[in-house]
Amino acid sequence: MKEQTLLKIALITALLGLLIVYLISDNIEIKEKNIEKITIENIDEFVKLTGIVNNIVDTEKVTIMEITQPQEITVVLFKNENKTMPIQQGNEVEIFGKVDEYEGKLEIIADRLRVVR
Amino acid sequence: MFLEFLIAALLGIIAGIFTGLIPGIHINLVSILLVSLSAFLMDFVSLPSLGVFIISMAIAHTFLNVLPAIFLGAPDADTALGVLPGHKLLLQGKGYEAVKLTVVGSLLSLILAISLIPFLIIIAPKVYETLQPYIGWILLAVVIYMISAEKGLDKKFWAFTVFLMAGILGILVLTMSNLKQPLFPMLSGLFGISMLIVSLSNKVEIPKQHITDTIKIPKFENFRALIAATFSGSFISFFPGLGPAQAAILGSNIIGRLSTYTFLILIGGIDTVNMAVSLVSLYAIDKARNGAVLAIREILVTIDLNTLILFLAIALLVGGIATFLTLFLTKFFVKLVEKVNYQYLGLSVILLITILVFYFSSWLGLLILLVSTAIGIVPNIVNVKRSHSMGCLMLPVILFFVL
Repeated sequence: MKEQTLLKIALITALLGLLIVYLISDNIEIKEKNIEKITIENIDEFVKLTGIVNNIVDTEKVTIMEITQPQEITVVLFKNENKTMPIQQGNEVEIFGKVDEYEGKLEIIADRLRVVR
Repeated sequence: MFLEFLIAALLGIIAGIFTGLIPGIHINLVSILLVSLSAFLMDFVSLPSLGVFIISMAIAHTFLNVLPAIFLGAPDADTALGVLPGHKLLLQGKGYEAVKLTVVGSLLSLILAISLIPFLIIIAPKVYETLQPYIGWILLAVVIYMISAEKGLDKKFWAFTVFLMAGILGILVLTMSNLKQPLFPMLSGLFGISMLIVSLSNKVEIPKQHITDTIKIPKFENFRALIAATFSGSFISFFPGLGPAQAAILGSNIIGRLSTYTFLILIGGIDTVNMAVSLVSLYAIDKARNGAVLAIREILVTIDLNTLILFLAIALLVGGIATFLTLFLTKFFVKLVEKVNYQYLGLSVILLITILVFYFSSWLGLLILLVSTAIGIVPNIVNVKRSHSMGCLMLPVILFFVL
């Protein structure tokens, strides 16, 4: 194989990759979910939520929050270390997590949480 | 988002250059670091961008990691079997050709594998379910074939002995819970330093290296190596505990005798295909089969079809760029080995590996390096294939599946 041929293939491959990245990049962001649209069919789905912390209970191993949008849902965050979460009532938070069901109620098991303000 | 992905890809390529060229710095190290920083980084970048960074680094790494393996004799787990054929060509003044062959394998197998991905998504869950109970036995059959392929009872005995010694060493090393970077000292000894010691004791001189424009390989041979790389690289992406080294042994034994040239195409291809197709195993069967994909799962938790397409497109983009980069950097390595006295270079590399092993794995690492170097020299003395030393990874995997 000639080096020119190899480099031509490499160039075409890179340009094709670039084109696909360009076309698909607008469809990538994890779509934000409205609490009212989370149903039993979304169980085990990974969702992104933004809302205001209405109530917070911080224990040694877990932090439980009520998030309002204004609809309300419980968010559970399991902690690796016994650290107090830097979240207060009234904070706007962004949550990435899985939809789960506990005692007949839908809740979010948070994987990541970010305080927006 | 497009610009953010491009920046992430470029930064990933830069990281891949470092992990690929510096012996002992594996992409898993950077990936783990990124996972631990992801909560902080998500204030500035989107989570898929972190995935793009990891994929770019991993794909660039698979193109560039052959350089230290071929020119310095310092391989990682993915390139260990490429050291000997690569070094053989280096001693014939064809170091550039050796690297170019792995690049041909990486790029063309990547294109072939990605074009087969719609098919792989459909069959992966079925193949995984059907073959998983037999994977240990398949590997055992490959090892028996490898050993029995040696000519004469004497060589068969030594092939078995090398496989067993390396295998026992592998079991001991991989079960040491207090050892950081267990593969680095073991593989550097078995495939790197042992080869350098043999070359130095034979007073090997590195001849003038030629920058060859055209490499003549019969089209059918080339095609055979690409098919083997795509098949075995994809195969190992769906099963735990298997890596490019096992895939190379599997691929070369399934497809029959390969020349030095086609074997290097196979080695280059397997590593890159494995990285790309392991994204499919994450998407199709929700399993992470290597450190980079595990890091992606830690960050993104799950990937949908759009994210999979994005990552595969990034793999194509980076594969194309890495082809130019690798050939460019190889020319620099060629000048380096021509200018530097090989005896000094070999001793410097041995010293560098020893220091890195001590840094990563302390005194225990040095002991492993010493023992693995001793085992690595045996195939050269008894004149059997060095690939039997891959028992260090094959035996633990076989026992894991069979027992």
